[in-house]
Amino acid sequence: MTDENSLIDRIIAGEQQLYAELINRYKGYAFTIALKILQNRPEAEEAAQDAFIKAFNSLSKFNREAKFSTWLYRITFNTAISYKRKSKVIFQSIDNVHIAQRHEGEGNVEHEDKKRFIELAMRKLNDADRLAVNLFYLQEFSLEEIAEITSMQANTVKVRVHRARQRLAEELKGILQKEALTL
Amino acid sequence: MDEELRKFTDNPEGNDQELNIIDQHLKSMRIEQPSVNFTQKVMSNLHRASAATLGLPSRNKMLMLAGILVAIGVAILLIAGGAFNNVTSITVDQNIIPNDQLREYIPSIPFNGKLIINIVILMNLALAFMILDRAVLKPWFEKRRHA
Repeated sequence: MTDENSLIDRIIAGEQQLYAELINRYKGYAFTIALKILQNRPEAEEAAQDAFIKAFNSLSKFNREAKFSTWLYRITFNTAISYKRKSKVIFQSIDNVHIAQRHEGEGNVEHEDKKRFIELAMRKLNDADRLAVNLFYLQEFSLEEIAEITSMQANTVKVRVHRARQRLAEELKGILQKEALTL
Repeated sequence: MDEELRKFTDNPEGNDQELNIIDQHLKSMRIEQPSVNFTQKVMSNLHRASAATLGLPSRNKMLMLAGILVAIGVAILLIAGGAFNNVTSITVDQNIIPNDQLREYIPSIPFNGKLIINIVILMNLALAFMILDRAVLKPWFEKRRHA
């Protein structure tokens, strides 16, 4: 933390090249957060880059009450949300999504299908719920940190994670039933 | 609270198959990695104005600003010429609504036309100042800061 603070001080003092160290440290999570919201890799990459640029331009305003990472992820979350609002996303109901049938062997295919079904169910969640559940399962963030990133109360995050799991289970059940009928 | 929820997700209620599948999938989730030149891209664009904060293209902002100023100008000219001095009430024209459909007398609604137009101009002025600030002043000061 102190090491990070002194690094930030040096960047503010003019050693801008040191910012690359912070980018390398946090780009994975920042990109993951943007990706979970935008569901599109090129857009998520652009949003994450934009978030790093915004953070750099506001570095002198960072008050160090929270961790740098939490502050950065909050900027990333807000940037991704504003990207989502701007982009003309065509929403497609998962009820209308045609799930391709495969006749290959079981095992991997079944695993891949499950993964795909869960991704479809995930899209049904709203951005805050999806991000809360993803961050929670990454096991890296406490509920308090997730709350800070998403500008919610810790209790609200807890409820959202719980509710999002239930919703995912219901959606998955629906998809699996539908899939069974098409076989 | 954190521990409590984590314990709960380790042992989902009942034998709910779907919840188990979801928990397993989410727990096996890995952090995604951006492209290899991510850091270089950010470093080379550090002084570029953030794309998300640019908002409307500046040409559109200037057009909007010009439109608001023209609207204010026209309204001021009309007020100066006393165009709204006699606008003091709205009366529902009996010719527009046929008598057989009117069961009760509709009163005229009195209002001060000049006051309303003044309020509209005031709101336009506030909007114009906001756009001027965002479209012209802020970007100009940003440029000067990074120059």
